[in-house]
Amino acid sequence: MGGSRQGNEEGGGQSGADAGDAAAQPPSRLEWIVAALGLLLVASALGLLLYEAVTGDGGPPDLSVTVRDTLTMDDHYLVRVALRNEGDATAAEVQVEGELLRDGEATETSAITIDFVPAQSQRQAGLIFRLDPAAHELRLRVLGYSEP
Amino acid sequence: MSAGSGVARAKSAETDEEARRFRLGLARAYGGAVIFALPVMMTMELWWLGFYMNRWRLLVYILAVVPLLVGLSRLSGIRETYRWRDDVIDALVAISVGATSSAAVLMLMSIIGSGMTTDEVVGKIALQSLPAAIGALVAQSEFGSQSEEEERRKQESGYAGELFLMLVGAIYLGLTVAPTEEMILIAYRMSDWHAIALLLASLLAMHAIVYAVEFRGQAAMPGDVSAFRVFLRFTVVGYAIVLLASLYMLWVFGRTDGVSPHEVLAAAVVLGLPGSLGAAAARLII
Repeated sequence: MGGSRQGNEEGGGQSGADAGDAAAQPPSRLEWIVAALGLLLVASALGLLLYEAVTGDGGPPDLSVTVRDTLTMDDHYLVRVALRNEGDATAAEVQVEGELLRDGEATETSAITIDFVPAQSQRQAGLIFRLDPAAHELRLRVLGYSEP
Repeated sequence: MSAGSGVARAKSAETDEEARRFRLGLARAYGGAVIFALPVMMTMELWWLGFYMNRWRLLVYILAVVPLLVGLSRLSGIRETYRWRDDVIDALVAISVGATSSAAVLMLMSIIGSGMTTDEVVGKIALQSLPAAIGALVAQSEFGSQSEEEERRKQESGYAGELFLMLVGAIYLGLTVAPTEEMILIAYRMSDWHAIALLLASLLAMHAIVYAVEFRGQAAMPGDVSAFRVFLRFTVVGYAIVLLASLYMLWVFGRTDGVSPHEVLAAAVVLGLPGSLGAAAARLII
């Protein structure tokens, strides 16, 4: 307990109730375990970021959209979609369009804009149609995005 | 303490004094609640979360803060507390102060009002009342004078107490920015090298502040062994706590759903900047 006070000549440490006491006492076993866990967590975080920094290709967003399910609501049909970004960059203001086709002709179109789709992540949204998607061919497209 | 002659007079004077101090403490609590929580109450993401936040998550959010408030009450609080039971009561008082002040301010600014479902109103008040409750408990040290008993308890709380104060500091500063869009925008825009630099800068800033606060009054950093020990036990562990607190806040406000671990980590490091400053300076704030 005296070790940490040996360097103090100026007598500024006379306030005995100083918080330095907490650090001055020899650490118990539990403290070492806590310190080890803390070090592990911070080192892992740093390691993961370093790994991504070095191996990431820094390429553009790679967006794709798939249907999750189609629900029949009171006065419309809801097509729930999942938007996936496999790329290394975040896409903002992503526009998704869904078309209902009959004999190759688009009979209804619906679109949504999603705020952010981060890298390697996915977002969920819904498209609303008046006509029954089951009676048509449904085509989903991602139209574009902006860089955040 | 009052020194009346005659036991009965002394006793009633004591209870009067205690009641007066409680009222004073309550007034300070309301002040602290509004001052701390006002920026939070004027953040639109928290209004939206009021109606779209998953109710189970909201429950976790509410329940998780209670032990935090109890611990805070032990070290700070509205009035002197001698038993754990008193701290629990103080925590509940803080929550009610938080809830009533939030409801009043939200109504004043027309963020809650007629025409909204009960669910939405309750959600909005619940979300705002927790930062307000923390503000209520911290108010005592901000505005009032801490009793000797509390000062002593703080000094003697040891390592666990230090870590707890760091946690509270991290949440205190982090809560104001955690739900905002700007925070994830920063995370999404920056490169991994930025994130690494931010992490190291946070560690450095924390260490500088922790050293300045912990060792004030001592001439120099006492010896190499101790310096390393301080870094490990306070700065590194403190930053680990900050990261965990950031991850928790991100999860509670729905910023982790469907997002890759890498992006979540980047957001946690961004949130960790105010968090680590709050943690390091906790001894000064709380």
